[in-house]
Amino acid sequence: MQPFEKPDPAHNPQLREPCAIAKLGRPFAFTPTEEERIDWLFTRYPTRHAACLPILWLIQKRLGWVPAEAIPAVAEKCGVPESQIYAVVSFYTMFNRAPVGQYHLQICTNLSCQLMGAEHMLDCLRRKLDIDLGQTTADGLFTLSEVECLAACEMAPMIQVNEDFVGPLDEKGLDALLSRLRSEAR
Amino acid sequence: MEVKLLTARFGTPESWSIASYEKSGGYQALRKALRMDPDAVTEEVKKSGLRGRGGAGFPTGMKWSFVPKESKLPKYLCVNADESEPGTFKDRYLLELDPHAIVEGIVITCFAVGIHHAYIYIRGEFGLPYRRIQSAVEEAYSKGYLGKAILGTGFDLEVTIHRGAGAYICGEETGLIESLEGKKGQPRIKPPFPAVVGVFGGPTVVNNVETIAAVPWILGHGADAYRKHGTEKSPGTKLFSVSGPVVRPGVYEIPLGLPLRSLVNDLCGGIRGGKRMKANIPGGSSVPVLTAEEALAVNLDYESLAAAGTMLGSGGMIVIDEDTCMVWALMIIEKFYAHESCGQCTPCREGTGWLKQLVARLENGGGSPGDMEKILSITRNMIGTTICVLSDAAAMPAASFVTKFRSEFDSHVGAGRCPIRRATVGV
Amino acid sequence: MPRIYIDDREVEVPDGLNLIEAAKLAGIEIPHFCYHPGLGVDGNCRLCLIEIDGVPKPQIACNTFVKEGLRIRASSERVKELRRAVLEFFFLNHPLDCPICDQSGECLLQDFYMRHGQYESRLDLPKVHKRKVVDVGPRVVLDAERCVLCARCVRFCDQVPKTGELRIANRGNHSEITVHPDKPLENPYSLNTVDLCPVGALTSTDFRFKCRVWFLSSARSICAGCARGCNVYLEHNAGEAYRLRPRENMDVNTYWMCDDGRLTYKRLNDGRCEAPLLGGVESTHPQAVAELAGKLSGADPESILFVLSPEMSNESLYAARKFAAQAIGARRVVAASRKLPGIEDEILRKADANPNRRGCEVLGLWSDDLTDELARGGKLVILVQNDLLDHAPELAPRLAGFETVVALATNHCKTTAAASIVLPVTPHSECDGTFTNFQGRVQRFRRAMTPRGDAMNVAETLRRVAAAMGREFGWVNLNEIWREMAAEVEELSGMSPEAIGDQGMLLRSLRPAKDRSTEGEG
Repeated sequence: MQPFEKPDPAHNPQLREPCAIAKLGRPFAFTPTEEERIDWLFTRYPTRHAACLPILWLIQKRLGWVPAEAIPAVAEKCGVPESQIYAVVSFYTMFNRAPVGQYHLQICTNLSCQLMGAEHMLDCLRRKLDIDLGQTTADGLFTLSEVECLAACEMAPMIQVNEDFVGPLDEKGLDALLSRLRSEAR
Repeated sequence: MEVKLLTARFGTPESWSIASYEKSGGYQALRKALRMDPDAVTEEVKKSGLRGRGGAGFPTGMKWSFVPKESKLPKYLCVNADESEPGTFKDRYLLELDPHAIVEGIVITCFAVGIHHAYIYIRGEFGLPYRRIQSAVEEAYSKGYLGKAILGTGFDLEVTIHRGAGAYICGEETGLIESLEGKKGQPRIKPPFPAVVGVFGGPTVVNNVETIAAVPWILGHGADAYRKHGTEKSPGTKLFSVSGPVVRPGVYEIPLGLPLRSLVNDLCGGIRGGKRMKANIPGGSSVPVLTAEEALAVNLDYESLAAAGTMLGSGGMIVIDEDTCMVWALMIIEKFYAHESCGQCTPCREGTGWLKQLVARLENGGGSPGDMEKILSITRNMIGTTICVLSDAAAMPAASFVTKFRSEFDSHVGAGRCPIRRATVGV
Repeated sequence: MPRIYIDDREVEVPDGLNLIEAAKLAGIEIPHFCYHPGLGVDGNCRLCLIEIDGVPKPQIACNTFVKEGLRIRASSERVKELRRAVLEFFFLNHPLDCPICDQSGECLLQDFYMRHGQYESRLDLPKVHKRKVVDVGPRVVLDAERCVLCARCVRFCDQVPKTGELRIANRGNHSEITVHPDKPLENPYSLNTVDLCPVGALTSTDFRFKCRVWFLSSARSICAGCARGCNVYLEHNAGEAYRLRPRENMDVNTYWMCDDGRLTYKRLNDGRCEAPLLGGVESTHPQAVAELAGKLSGADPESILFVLSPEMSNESLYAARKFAAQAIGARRVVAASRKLPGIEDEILRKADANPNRRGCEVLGLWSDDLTDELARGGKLVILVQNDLLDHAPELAPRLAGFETVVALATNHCKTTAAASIVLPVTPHSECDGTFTNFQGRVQRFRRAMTPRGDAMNVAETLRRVAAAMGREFGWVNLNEIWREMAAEVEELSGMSPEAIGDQGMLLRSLRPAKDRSTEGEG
């Protein structure tokens, strides 16, 4: 009987996880500097659990994303089950669950930016980079994402380039931004 | 028309440095406060009539006085720098341009309430604001404004900056507390309230950045001086973030009670291209929308806005011009709340998604005549039925958009596509 | 006790209760998913919203506590409307697959909709899809689309086994119960999540699609998996046991039971002794009884050894002891077990894998020194419900030292294989009786199913043997055994099946002095 048959997870990996986190492909370990920082973090909170977000940030700072292999390591540091860290990573939008390009372009599509033409900017970005949302350019330079309000509505339409806010954007400004980023690329 | 109490330093070179801050009289209010009785500090803030600037508008001094004097567990201050209400960006300005006012406000607040550890919960997306507040805290430590025996008194205070990681809900005070504890930012049921059981189980004050930044001014100049601005019931100034198609979007510090018309038309230079205003969301995207007519008649203070059926909220004003389709605008708002619902309470988890889908279907011309009534009924079931007010925040715009711009919604039914949507800027 | 008013009805309820519990005491149902008395308040489902006079917003009953003079509305129009609304929200992304859902018939979403929902469907948009048929662990299957996200299962794993395997991942309407991909739900109490799940999101791998729940009958029983004696419902249909579910007893197992215990029902179905055997060949009950009676009559009582077991009920133990002494005049009667200790933890599981060792002790039957008794040999050894050889095969030569090995058994085992006379007896699913758990609590189990084949309870079997020997012995019913037992055994004084009730009763020496009379706890 059809409905009772179990889907084979091997053929459909998404069935296994509600939140897919990519693998690094090698064991994960904290660097000595990170270990030191984590020890310091533990002095700043009455519980180890509270250091969870800062520790995840340390990982993302080094790798640009949070790989699946890091989750047990964070869980061990924080003294909580792996499921706890897994759920936290799935809850917060900023933890990248797969590698991202050298420049993470996050375009705001909330109301103030949309009123000022964010959708057009997004179309321009799609065209100029030849990628869609959630994708990375073949050269590994750019990843394009859509985000909600970044609290920079006075510079609408705006975009976050890694840590920095850029705006107001227009098509010319976008061209200038992309070529500047390309020229500065590693 | 602007009254620059908290924004006075915004134009000064290197306004974020401790040198610049001290030169303009910074940390003097702290010196004064530390010589006072802690209760007297709370009294002064109570007297000033300062209300929480994060959105709820709860009287600040009263919030402080809810914290029990004696507590077995340590007491904490959480500074809410998780500024995420769409249309709001004034805390970002304070963090970037006057971070020491925040630090000074923190020390005074903690002294008043008897707190020895404060956390600044800053939204993860903030790069520059994070670096600025980070260096301000470091400077304050090195100058003895933070740490052990502050300014030679017996008062100790540690400050830790904690970065969020992308979740609007962490701006809700108990969501913030959960997040600070390393968990998903899902709001807690109340009671108990944070003032009794907050972060790490200890009594906790959660105050918005702007609220904290107002504390040094109030202590430095006195509650009476603060009350000279604003109205009787809404004293002081408020930072408004204005965005949308106005000539000069930005942060404006105005005395409460200023006519909305003055803010939009005079300070912001009116609507671009000589267009007319169609609608105005005065307090961040979650408050009920005003029609242009209502907006141009209202004053910007807690009471007047409440009387007009909306709220002052966070002061994140989004101006909507005559070319904008209100169904389209609502669709964008509802997309946001569906994305940000933490998923805990049923009416919010399901209601936000339902509203988003219904409005999107209408905007794309696929709605049916009963959809508007359905939206209104869903919003009734979402308001006041959940742990926190994100559900209300999603429902109030939907209810007000549909009610006030009903004909626009009606015109979409059976249209096959949006009949109003303007050409986007730049095409 | 504070007085509160529910829909203008005055009720007096104990202090400290929340309004769900208080209303329950008054016979009023306030529907809810997330609240559970064993897991506390979470406040997420919003189904228990009620109105409180003088409070503008509706409040959740689970997080509102009784207070003198509190007036609440649990059935006002607004409350009814809110319940309909919240149920509607639940159905928005629910697959409505009741016909193929294993929870059908014991689903709170179905029940609440029948009682509090019933509206015209306004749902005409595509649903959010989530994972289905996911093995979150070896014993539990998840259907995330049916989940109401009440987080009972999450809180259970956090609070009881403290293993924390389950979490809700993602947010908004993509929220979904999950384990970490490498950490399955496999704590020894995992099946409690299935009981706790109010809908068909978590189902038992073992029970899935075996039987529609409305065909099941339920009997109050005791888990025989270890010395804890968790109170259970034994659920069965057409003579087959299908599952055990924990039955609340705050003094013994609270609301839970362990996964191993749950699977003990299988022994009640499989490998059962249903017909008497003589020399390994099926015989009739009267023939087998006559054969045993003959052997007993011809033997010197001193050459007869009774080996009873802690699997037997108190009644069976007492009957066997009395039979040996009165009908036979035998003095060699011991109860023993060679079962290896199981895993013990601080939650429920006890190392002692026997349900009634304490009962054997109370009746003065327990012996750790079985080897010596066996070494003495003799004419007859009668093993009752004792699968000795399965746990201690090295004792086989000792048994061979007896001329005749007799087994009264529920299941086929190495002992029945070694016996020349086998009489089938009923396990605790097929007769009434009591076990005394490790705490010294005497607990009743009720007959769930009719005895299989020729099986009958130990007392009745022995009565027939005595009758065949021409000796008067036996009782008419359980109450009669109890009257005698309670009079004879000091620890059992004051007890009767009625007094023991559904919650059990402590041995006399363990009861507070004032309760040592005939007053029961049940």
